[in-house]
Amino acid sequence: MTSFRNTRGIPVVAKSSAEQVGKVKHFVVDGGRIQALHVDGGKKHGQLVSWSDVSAFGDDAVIVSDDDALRDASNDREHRALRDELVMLDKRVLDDVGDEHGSVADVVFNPDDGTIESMTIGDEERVAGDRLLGVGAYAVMVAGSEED
Amino acid sequence: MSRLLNATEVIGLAVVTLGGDDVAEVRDVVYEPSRGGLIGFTLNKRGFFSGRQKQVLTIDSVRSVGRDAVVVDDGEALTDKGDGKGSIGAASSDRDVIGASVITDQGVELGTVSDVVISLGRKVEAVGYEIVGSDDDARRFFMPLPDQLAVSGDALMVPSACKEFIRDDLTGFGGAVDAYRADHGSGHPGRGNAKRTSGAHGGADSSRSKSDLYAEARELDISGRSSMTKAELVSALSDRRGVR
Repeated sequence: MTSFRNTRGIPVVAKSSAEQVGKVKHFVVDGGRIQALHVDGGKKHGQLVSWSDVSAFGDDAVIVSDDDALRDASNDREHRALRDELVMLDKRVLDDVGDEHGSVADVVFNPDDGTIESMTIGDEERVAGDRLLGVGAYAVMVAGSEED
Repeated sequence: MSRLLNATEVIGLAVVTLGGDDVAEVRDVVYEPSRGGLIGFTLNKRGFFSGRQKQVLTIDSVRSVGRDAVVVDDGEALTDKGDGKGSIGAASSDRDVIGASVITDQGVELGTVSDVVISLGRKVEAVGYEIVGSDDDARRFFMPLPDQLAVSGDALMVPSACKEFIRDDLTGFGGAVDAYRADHGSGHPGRGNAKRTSGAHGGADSSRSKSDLYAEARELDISGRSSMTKAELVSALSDRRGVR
């Protein structure tokens, strides 16, 4: 397991050329998993790498096959992601009852398949990844407890 | 009873989708005294000085009202306001319950309505009024929403029994609402699912499973049981036990 905080800024390297094509800036999350990496500092125009084009997500570098893996946004959600609207870290967390739970301190994910394992909220609270409902401009939504 | 809040405190809350986007904020709470219920919310656009949003949010489309946000499934929850009777777009003169004086059927004036109290959570409803007393010290207190009431432009007529359930603060008020409803039945249209968590059996019933409650309702041959919600089953069971 690794986390957003641990891997932010690590280089994205092309296997074919051993060249760095950029650095991990943010993660585009949808449906409980990482769909793409938002990469910046690259020489090419594109700023996104689909998760399916990641051949290895290591502690020190993300490996892609070649620099063709970098692409432009292909839908509205990806355009929003590139405008940093959908960044999870430090965003407020709301449950589906409408109560706020602090802000996202970190997001733990499985580097093998990109699934979100859990989120840390504030100093202590940990929320399982399967409670993640959505990531929007205003909040990270999680399924609330069943008390009400 | 879930958590309670003055309706005016909902004003300004963000309306947020399950996708995490804020699509509006609450401009005003629309309440229909003659029907004893919340109808919905009028909306402002998000951001400072953004002004009024044409669309409205009816209570049926609300997923939950929490302390920090009103949650809806998605942007489709917002609708154009209609102008039919009882809709959010209809004239609001018959809704101006704030400022109305509250008079019991025994002819005693309790005070004037200063706010509507709503229950938060997945079942949002109006449960009572905040009232400013008419005596000199202008004491603020809370009164359960009466089952039977008449509303005119400037007064609410309430059963005298309401007085017994008046509380000084919202903390104790939830219990008073439950007790009031337990005593006065749940025959009010639109509030048939009033929870009963007080009385000899109600508290225990509400913690039982619905299938368990249903089984007992079948034993007692309570009619209409198959279409009842859990709260209605609890209520029907305690009614039945009461007459035995």
